[in-house]
Amino acid sequence: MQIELTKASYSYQAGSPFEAPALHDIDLSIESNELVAIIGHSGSGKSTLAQLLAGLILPTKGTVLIDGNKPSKGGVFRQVGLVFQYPEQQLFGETIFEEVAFGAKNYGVPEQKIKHIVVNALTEVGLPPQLFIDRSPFSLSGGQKRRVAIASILAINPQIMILDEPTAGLDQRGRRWIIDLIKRLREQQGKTIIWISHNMEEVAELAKRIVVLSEGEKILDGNPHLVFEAEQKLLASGLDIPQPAQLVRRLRQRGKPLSAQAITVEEAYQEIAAWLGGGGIV
Amino acid sequence: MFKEKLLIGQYYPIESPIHRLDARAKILASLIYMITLFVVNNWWGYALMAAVFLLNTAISRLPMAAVWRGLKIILYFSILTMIFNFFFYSEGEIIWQYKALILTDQGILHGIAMGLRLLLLVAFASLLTLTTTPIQLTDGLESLLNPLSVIKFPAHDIAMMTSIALRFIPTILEEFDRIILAQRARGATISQGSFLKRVKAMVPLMVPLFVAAFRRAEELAQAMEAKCYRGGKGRSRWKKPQWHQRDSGYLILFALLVVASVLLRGI
Repeated sequence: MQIELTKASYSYQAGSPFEAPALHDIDLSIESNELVAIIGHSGSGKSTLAQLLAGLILPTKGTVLIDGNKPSKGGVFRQVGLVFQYPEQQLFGETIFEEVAFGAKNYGVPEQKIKHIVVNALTEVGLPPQLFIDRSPFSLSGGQKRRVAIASILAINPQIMILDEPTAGLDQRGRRWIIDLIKRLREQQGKTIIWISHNMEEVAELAKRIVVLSEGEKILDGNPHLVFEAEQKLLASGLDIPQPAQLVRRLRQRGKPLSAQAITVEEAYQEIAAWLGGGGIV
Repeated sequence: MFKEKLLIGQYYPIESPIHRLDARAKILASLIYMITLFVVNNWWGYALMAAVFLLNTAISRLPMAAVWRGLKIILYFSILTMIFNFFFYSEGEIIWQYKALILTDQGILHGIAMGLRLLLLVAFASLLTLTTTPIQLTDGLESLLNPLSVIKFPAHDIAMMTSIALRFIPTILEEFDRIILAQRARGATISQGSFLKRVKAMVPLMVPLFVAAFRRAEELAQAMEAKCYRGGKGRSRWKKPQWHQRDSGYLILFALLVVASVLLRGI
């Protein structure tokens, strides 16, 4: 399953004096089982792009094709699940069961299967179903609420998952957990992941492809090495390269024999250890 | 999107003689206009009132489309008012009758007049908010209500509440749009099915909206208290509204409108 954007533009309140262009001439093609990170400063159009990719909003100009189909006004694609930014703000259910079952019920999953689906989704997000299923979602902590919101999308079982800043406002443990979930979803369930973030560091270790947005335009698109090489372009659009990559780069500037390819902590460690220990990694 | 639909009289940022007028002059003029609408009793009067509205719109340089967009919803009410008046006015010659429903010639005229009156009423009021920023509007309102504080009328508080309410309308509409999208992403259908189904479909929209509104209200209250807000006492102003000759002139024109409408009653 593929999503394809051709010269897609989007403006809010198009045709009024309040018109605010958000995206301009975006060409983007996302293939099956890819893990694409979409990176940009706040206001760069990331969230708008997420909604466009999910077929929730229609481009003002250009075309969007989801699995070969044009999205229609008011329509949705069950195969594309979008986890909004701060998804815990959409919770409404009296119980966590009702909340997680909401999407699946809307898509007409038979009643006898729902319980099974909800239990699975809650397990997947690390909330033991027997403890949580009857509680009110409003009694949970912020991080747990977010897990419930993600579980409610997982219950729909979409082929493509779009996550809009899934780690925003979480502590280190919460972040780690989300990153592991993203990894599992792609590797074990074969899902396509589109991960929206403003944090380079976070996406560097998982993403095989990074798309950089700036002021509503796509300025870079490629593998992490390629993207992080364009340091000036990134800095100009308010983004940073990951710290391990910065360290390696500075050592290289001093003439140390390191490869510029190191981006993650692990890769930087390997490079530096190889340089210091002559290849002997402890 | 709701935000795009529900722009009833959201401030329209352009330059025009009407935009430049003092908010107090515009509020008073709107009041006079509304009262005058109930003075007129014949077509000459309505024609005059419609002309005044159109002239105001033209001077305010608002595109007709912007004014019209805000009026669409009111038009339904206006038509409804018209239809009700058609059948509940029994004077005049009967044109058509079905059991208790009676349609008379005067009833039709009366209905049209009532619908027109409602439409002009809201249309003129929407000009006020289209050409005045919420801040100017509430400052003006506070200034006009201030004399009433002698009898312990909380003029400042009412003005502050109004300005907060106006300020948050677009924010909450934006929030509502986002919630609609988020629930649609979970497969929710919002405008389909029977009446009961539609009411049920509102729950996933309304609960998050209210939760968010309460959260926002609490945050705002805390932020205001942290900045030592204690109501209007001893509060000074950065931008003071200025009354100019043009504002007096504008009001004199409206006084003439009252005179004209009274004279037209006799025709």
